[in-house]
Amino acid sequence: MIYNSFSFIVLYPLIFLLYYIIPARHNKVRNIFLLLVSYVLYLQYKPIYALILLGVTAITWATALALDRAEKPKRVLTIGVLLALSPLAFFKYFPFINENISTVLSKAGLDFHLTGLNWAIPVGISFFTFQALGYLWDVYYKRQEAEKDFLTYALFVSFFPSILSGPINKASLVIPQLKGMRPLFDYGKVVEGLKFLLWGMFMKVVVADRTALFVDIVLPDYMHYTGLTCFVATILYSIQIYADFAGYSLMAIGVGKTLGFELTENFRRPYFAVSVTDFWHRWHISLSTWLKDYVYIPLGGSRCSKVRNYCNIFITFLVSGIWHGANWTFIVWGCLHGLCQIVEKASGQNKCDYGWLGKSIKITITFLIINFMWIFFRMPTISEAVGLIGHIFNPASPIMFEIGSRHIFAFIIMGVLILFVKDWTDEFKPNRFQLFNNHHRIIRWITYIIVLVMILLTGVFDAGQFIYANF
Amino acid sequence: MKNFFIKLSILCVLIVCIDLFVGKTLNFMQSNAKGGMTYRDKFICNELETDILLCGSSRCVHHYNPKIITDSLHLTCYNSGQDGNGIIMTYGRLEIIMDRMTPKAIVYDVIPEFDLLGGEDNHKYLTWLKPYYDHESIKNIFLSVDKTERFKMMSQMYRYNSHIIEVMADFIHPIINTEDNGYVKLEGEMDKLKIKESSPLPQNYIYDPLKLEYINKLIDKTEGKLIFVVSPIWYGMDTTQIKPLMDICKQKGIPFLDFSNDSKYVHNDLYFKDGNHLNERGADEFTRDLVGKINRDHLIH
Repeated sequence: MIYNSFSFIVLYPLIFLLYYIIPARHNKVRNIFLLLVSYVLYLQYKPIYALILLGVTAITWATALALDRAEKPKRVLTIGVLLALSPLAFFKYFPFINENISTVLSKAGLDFHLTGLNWAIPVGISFFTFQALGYLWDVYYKRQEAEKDFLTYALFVSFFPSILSGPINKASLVIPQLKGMRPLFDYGKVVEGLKFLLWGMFMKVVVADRTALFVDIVLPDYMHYTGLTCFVATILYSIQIYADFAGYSLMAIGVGKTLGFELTENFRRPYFAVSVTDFWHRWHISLSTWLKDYVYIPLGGSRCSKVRNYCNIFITFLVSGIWHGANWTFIVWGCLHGLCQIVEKASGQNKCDYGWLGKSIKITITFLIINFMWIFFRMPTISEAVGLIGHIFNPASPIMFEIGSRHIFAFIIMGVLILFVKDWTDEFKPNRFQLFNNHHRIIRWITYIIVLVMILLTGVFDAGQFIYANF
Repeated sequence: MKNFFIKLSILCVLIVCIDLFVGKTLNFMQSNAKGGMTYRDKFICNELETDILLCGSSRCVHHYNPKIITDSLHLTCYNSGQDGNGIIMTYGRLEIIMDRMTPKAIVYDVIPEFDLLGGEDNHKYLTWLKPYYDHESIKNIFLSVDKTERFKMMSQMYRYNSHIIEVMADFIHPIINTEDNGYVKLEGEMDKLKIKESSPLPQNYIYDPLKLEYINKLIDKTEGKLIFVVSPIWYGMDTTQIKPLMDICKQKGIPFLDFSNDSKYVHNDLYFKDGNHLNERGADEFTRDLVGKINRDHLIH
């Protein structure tokens, strides 16, 4: 569900009311209702793809049950994982692999080309597939009991707040909530959820979509702008992708809370990270945790030789890059993140403490490194990403910033500043400058009203897609 | 739960009150703007009286010098072009203007992306029309773009969405406008950095039926007073993309003047500020050429 769309504003209160009409003692009915809502909302994108969601759900559910009884559980797991991964591989990676094989063969003088697929990727496929695979591995490693009730499991995989762009929830977090008795109405949780929803909406429509108006003009045509303008655009892209994805995650968690659920935290002020390693403890936490639990640790983690450990880090971030998209740009982006962390680990940077000044410098340097790596994430090809970096550092480019519309840029500055101040206080003065959670009701209410007014006056309301919905 | 709904209702009432107050305040500021684009917009919609009305996008704003037209044709002229806008916004504005007065001629500068081709989010063309939503004809334009706009426009504040800084600045201390009867000249020479490499032309152009609908509506509304012009462009233009408009004009007998591939202008750095916009010298030269053509063909009676 696109949270900044008109249909959400209409449908969500309806879902909320109908959900709370069902008495809390009828937990099963509540779950069936949520499952129906999740599937009906998913059917909105492309009805046929709901079958893929159902297929992945059925395969992983049956595999988990089979694992309990299997004599050779590893073989069952392998078959289950391959079957569950096949739609993702088919829809997301087949065109990429096909194109690259054809290119290699054509260089060898062979003309071989399979018919390409021009089908849209089912929305959220990377998220629900990884969530289901995580459950499968947890059952295999005996960290989670196989869920016997198909409806409960189906709701875990398809739960509408997080199906589109995560967070990738662990079964151990969500399934007990689905099975246990939830209170009829948890006032504190509902209010907290609405605050998350409000701030997430601000991040999306006031910050992300507004900065996109500048970024989407400059970066595709970077050669026609000065190096300084391009550099500012890359910084704004870093802010855009953060506000977009963290905003979405906040809204997803918020919607979950209003229905009485706790979902995985996904962001913790990532641009205040003091190293790339620290960044991954704060950015897309649910994916980082997934990769750590199901790729890094099974590979041997850090309990092995240094060289092997560095290989494990590199492979983990290579998988992260591939997960993000079927394009060499994502693979390079993932590899760069892996390399940076290897360098940090080898040089002992993660353990250094230089005081507040050193910390500020490290935050700035980390941000700039992350910023340059985002360029590979944003640009359509590696050559264009390299071209953009070259253009930024081109000494012949005039040191001049092309602002475009002053009024639009003023909105961007305002939104980014508010986001920065909020994140800064949450990071460094968490107990001093509380606005949403201030103990004076009047301050809390003024905050809600100001944020709502800003959304109405400066938000972009064309229901732009969330960047991570593309993955 | 009862407590929650009571507090939520109070918050909603407060928001509605603030929405009304802020919306009305911004409406007052917009109506009393002292300069800038807010004043220009208000003037065009509420006060403008002219014989020749120039309409279109930024290419209209920077390409047509009304003074040259007035001196040559002895008719008053105003340039009502608006940056980044096309037929949807222009049609709306003409609905408002023509409620009050009817110009002798309307010159419409065509740009395929904004006036004909699809693949764009048409919401952006509604921005300047939002304060005039209460006009019945403007309401219909909003609904033709997006039915849900009806609900968004219930908010008085949303009508000034993205314009609050501009409206306040133009009310309190407007930035001096260098426009001349709506015309804004681009000074200086060609900025080569802004020239884009030619990309392969699409095989098939996809047209936006809504834009074509408003082109037809504009023709019907202006009853023979309309002249379509494609002003010069440094790159030249693939004219197959404007073929549907040329066909409509041929069918309905509407004058269509195409300067897009005029050898005098194509790749002539002297006349351009960037690939899409003429500089002051180019604008004056083009306006003279346009007036010459209008005179020769007796296009304004």
